[in-house]
Amino acid sequence: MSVVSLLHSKASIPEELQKNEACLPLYYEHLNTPPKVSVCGLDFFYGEHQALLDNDIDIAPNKVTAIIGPSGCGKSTHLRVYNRIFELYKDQKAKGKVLLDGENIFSSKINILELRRKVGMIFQKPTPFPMSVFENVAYGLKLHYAISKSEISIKVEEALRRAALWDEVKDMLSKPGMALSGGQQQRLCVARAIAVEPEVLLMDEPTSAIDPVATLKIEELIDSLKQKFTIVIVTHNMQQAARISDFTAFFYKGKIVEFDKTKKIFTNPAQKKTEEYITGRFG
Amino acid sequence: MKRKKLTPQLKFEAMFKYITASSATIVLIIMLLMFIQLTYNSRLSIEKFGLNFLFSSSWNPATHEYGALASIYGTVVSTLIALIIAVPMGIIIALFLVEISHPVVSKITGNAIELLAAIPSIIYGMWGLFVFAPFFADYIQPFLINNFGDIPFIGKLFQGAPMGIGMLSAGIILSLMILPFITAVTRDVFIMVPAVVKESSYGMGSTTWEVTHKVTLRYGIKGVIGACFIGLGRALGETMAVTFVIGNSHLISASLMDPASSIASTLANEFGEASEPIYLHALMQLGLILLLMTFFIQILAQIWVGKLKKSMGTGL
Ligand SMILES: Nc1ncnc2c1ncn2[C@@H]1O[C@H](COP(=O)(O)OP(=O)(O)O)[C@@H](O)[C@H]1O
Ligand SMILES: [Mg+2]
Repeated sequence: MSVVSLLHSKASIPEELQKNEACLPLYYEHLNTPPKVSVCGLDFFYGEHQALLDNDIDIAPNKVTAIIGPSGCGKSTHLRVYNRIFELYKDQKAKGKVLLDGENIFSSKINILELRRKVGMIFQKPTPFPMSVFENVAYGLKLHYAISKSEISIKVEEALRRAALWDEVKDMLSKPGMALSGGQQQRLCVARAIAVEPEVLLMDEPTSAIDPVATLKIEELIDSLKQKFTIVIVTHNMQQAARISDFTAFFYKGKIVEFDKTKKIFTNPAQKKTEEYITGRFG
Repeated sequence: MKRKKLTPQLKFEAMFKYITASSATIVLIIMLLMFIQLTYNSRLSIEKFGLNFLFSSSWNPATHEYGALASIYGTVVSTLIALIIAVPMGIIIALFLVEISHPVVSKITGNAIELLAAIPSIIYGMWGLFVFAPFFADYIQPFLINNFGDIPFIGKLFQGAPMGIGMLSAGIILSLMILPFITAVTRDVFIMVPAVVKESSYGMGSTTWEVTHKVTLRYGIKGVIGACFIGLGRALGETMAVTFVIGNSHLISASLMDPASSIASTLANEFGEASEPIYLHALMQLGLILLLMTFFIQILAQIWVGKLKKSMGTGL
């Protein structure tokens, strides 16, 4: 049994969820909705090297969940399971379950392209594609929707507005995405990801490669995005986790040491290791 | 601690700069001298035929009527055939090696392709004449002539007798010669595209094909175009292999089955017999045209890449 499962009493789990297969979804006592993503007994291997050990975590819908921990503890690895992007590499293997809305993403019924539409990802370095600002945002729309040119324009504007980038780029939509500043590029990637109307947004240290002002903008953006999306963010910066997240998971050496409401983690952590980390004694 | 005297380093630095600068200048001077030399040595032909040299297809050493059109046509068409075959194939092979096949297979195949690039062109020519041409005449050409010869318009490309040698054979041999080059460079370009860029494309829900042609290929388009143009340059000037298989006829024919000639093959074939000054000067002028063609194509490539960079901001 992991720490997480001990934290939450099973009594509060709705009956329909309790019936769910072998793995009992873990649940937050104060939430009345089932978790958006539920990870059960997740192990991860890079060849022989095991990078994740028995991860259990529930991701609450329309909340920001932060993943913190010292570098090399498996934060990125954990995140990269949610959209099965690790499968691009033949030597990487995941064992265990990841349920998205109660359905195992490793099940053969899952269409991987549809899964990746539902679970968008933002990387540490901005990754604009070699095309114009407009085409960058339209990229996923064209992949997943059969819509007309005018509808695409509307959706592109909508996504850019939601990513708080519209006003800055509306006069340069035909310029290459790579011509934007680093912070703008990162918001462009956010716009590109949310244009396809995903349900979950994974962000792997999205602000570690951009300047403080741009970071602030991204943080404000994350706050506004959680109305519509479920957000999981890996961050190296504990202040950032404290500022923007509702829940925080502390990872150490591939294990989830503690997972709780952010406030609790930063004021009164249950584990000694967590306390040592947040007070800066290692990491 | 005893400090080193730094004066020798400074001297070396100055010398180094001097050496690099002068090497670069020498290249420019050689190019310029070649141009001047070729122009000077073709003056008789330039004076006699003027611009008409470019537009006349007569090539008659008996009457000393010379025109470059047939050779230019042969050069351009055989090169186009080579590119039409080699560019898509090179890109597809590179894609397979980088994105799809097992790393061990990629390594072995990759090395084999680099070896192919090292085969001297005379070998390609001999293989083309003695192995490829008979096979082509017996099996492929009859098929093309029978199946496509009667189609309106494009049928014209596939009429005539199956002789094995001719424009199409030259184009195919050329494509084989530039294929390894295009493949190797395209592969290197694909490898250099950062994994995270490909991942974000896959992460949007793209298939391997979509990732490749919408993102990877565009990301490295500068390198790929560069590779194609170097391949193009090689095909334009390739002499031995083409001379063996193109048939060396100065008639312009619509059919790709018919023999033709390229600038390089004409030069290789006819220098030996060119005794009259005007004949020699006409050949020199052909050489000059080839030099200018190569030169302008490289400039075009530069302009094209610059435009692409403006519109999509390519990565490499
Ligand atoms: N591609 C890889 N191949 C092998 N081992 C890897 C690879 N990526 C990460 N690892 C290992 O997995 C562990 C977790 O890495 P990672 O998830 O990147 O950590 P974090 O994001 O928390 O810094 C580390 O020990 C790292 O060395
Ligand atoms: Mg990481």
